Amino acid sequence: MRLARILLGVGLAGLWLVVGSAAEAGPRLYVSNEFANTVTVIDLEKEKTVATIPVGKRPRGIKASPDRRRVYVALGEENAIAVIDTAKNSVIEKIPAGDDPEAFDLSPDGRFIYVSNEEAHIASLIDIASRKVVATVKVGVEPEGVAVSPDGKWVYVSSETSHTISVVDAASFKVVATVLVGDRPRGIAFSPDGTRAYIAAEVGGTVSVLDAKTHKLIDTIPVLRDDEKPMGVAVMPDGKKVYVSNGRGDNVAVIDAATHKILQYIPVGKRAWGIAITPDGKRAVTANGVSENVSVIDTATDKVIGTLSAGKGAWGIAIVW
Amino acid sequence: MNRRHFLRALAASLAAAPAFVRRQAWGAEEVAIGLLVGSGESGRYVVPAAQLAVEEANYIAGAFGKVVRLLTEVATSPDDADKKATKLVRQGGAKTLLGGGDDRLSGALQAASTREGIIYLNTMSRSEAVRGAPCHRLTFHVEASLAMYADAIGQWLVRGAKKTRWGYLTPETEAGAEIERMVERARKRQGGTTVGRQVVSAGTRDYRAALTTLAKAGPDVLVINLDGSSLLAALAQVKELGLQVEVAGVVMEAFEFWQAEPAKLTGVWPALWFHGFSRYSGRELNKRLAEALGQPAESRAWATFTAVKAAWEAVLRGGRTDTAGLVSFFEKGRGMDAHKGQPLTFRPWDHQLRQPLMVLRSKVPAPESPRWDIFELLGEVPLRGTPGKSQEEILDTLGLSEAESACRLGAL
Repeated sequence: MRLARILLGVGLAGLWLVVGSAAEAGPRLYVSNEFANTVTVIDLEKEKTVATIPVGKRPRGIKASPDRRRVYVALGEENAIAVIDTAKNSVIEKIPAGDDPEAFDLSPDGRFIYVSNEEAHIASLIDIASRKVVATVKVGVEPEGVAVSPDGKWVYVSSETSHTISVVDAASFKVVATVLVGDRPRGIAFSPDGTRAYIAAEVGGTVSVLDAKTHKLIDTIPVLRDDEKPMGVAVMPDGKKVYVSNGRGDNVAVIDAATHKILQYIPVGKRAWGIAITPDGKRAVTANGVSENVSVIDTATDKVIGTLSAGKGAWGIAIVW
Repeated sequence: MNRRHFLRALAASLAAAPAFVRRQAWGAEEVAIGLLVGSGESGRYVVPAAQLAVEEANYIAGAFGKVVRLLTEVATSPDDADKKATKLVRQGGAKTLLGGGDDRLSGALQAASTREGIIYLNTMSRSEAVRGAPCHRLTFHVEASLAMYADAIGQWLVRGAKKTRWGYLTPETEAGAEIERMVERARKRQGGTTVGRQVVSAGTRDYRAALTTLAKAGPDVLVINLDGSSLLAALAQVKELGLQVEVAGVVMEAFEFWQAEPAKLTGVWPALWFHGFSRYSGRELNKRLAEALGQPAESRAWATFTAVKAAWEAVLRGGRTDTAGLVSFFEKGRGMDAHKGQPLTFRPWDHQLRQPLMVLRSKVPAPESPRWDIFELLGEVPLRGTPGKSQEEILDTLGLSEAESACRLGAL
């Protein structure tokens, strides 16, 4: 209950009043480079790197705060989340995040981080203000992907070895359902209206579709065609198309959200891991680990219109708009 | 072998055994898995790996109304294996048997599973003695076959390393003949040539004359068709003679090599698994297995862990615990994630798990490094670029074809 009060007791107003240099700059991509231990900052309009930020050991999961003033990046080998000030493009602090944090998401109000701790088989709730882990919950084995529903009520955590999604009630931080999905589930994305969740299953070669209100599996979309290893998922702001990065398949699958049919596969760079879509829905971007770059996709034509350099082991991607 | 980890795991599984409760008080259905191992080093080594797989299954089993329980027995002979397997099934309620030992002990487990009408997952025997004519609908092989190991090293030597001229050292034993038969088949498939063959008597431990004769024939590689302590003796003599030729073989047990003096080891070897494998999710699994075992995980540990995982996931995915349901699940060919980066399936006609193998090279460890630091990973087989219309077809380049095999599965 105490936790619920903490979570529910704070208004959003102050968090959305932020302006400043981050807002004035053009849209930027923040790309975590797992093997370079850096984050590459790319100006999307000018198509150029504007900063390379040393962040710490094994950066992977990366997210921007709702107010765009901060970018958070999980450091798996430092048991921490680095905080980047987007005005200065430098790390201003590191928040303890439990064992081996890999992927995470933020609460819609930007106050909390929900993170998977791969080796401990748990998910942790971090209060950003106090820099403390305030709760943990046992999920499946080898947790990876984390996504918070748009209304902030549910936290979905994928567990790679268990092949499950643990549905965590964000208020109580208890698991309320465990759903069996495709083999080795990784990335998770909710539809903007919060009715669906899409889960990429790397070894299963599928995308599982869950009803995000009942937490039931409603469909499994086969993505495997040749060497596709579904990893990242992103949904268009209008909810009509779902983009799936396919790792070793070196492509992105585009799925019609209404019919669950694959519309096409878009060839991108080598080992496409992270994927994100700009808030205006015009561009999808992938972080390509082996080719160490970012592919920019025009979502109107579903063609790659640009390739931008990143760092070694480009892994995750966050957009500051 | 870390005896402490073995004893802890064995105690945990034995403590579970007396309950023999099919349904727990809170209503969870029990999925009992019986592990039977030989009394030797390899048997003790794998028990904590099975225990870890059960612990990981139970992380989520409760959410699906199940609880997984491991029952463990150690057998000293095929007769003892039969008796204890029967106990695991009739008293323990085991729905699946797994494990094994040497080929005779594994054969006894196979016979017991057939008689008792439950599945046996073979994790120990590579031989056709449990795969060929004796194959059975209830037996599934997680351990790779000798033919798969031979094909793996053949692909690596000929296609990967361009070593096409082979010389054989083979003992005059049934096992040696079977190994050579598979190696010879693999050589022919890859287009290599035989430049020499030396057969040594079963009792000898002095291979120097045979090795010297073989080396004079100018092979690119000496393929040693020995196993166990005989193999280690032959490798030591290769080093003693200072032969400057590649050495390879098919039957390598990591925990036997760990006991040897590293300077007396040499060669390239196929393996199911390697503790230094870090691709896909290998690094994470190796870390968990090493913690459970108290030492690195090699092929036996991986096979045992994977067999428990397969048994549990057949129940979880298939929704049935009866034998027909489990057989049907495995035969339908739904892929499983065994931490090798692609879905693995059992071949429908002989129930062999299709899987990539690894190729290791013996190395001399750096000073102060642990005793298991005696291999480096060269790569995975099938090699990239192996032709095939599907992942399964590519994996089937390892092992006997249906036409070559004596296995003809009957009705349940």
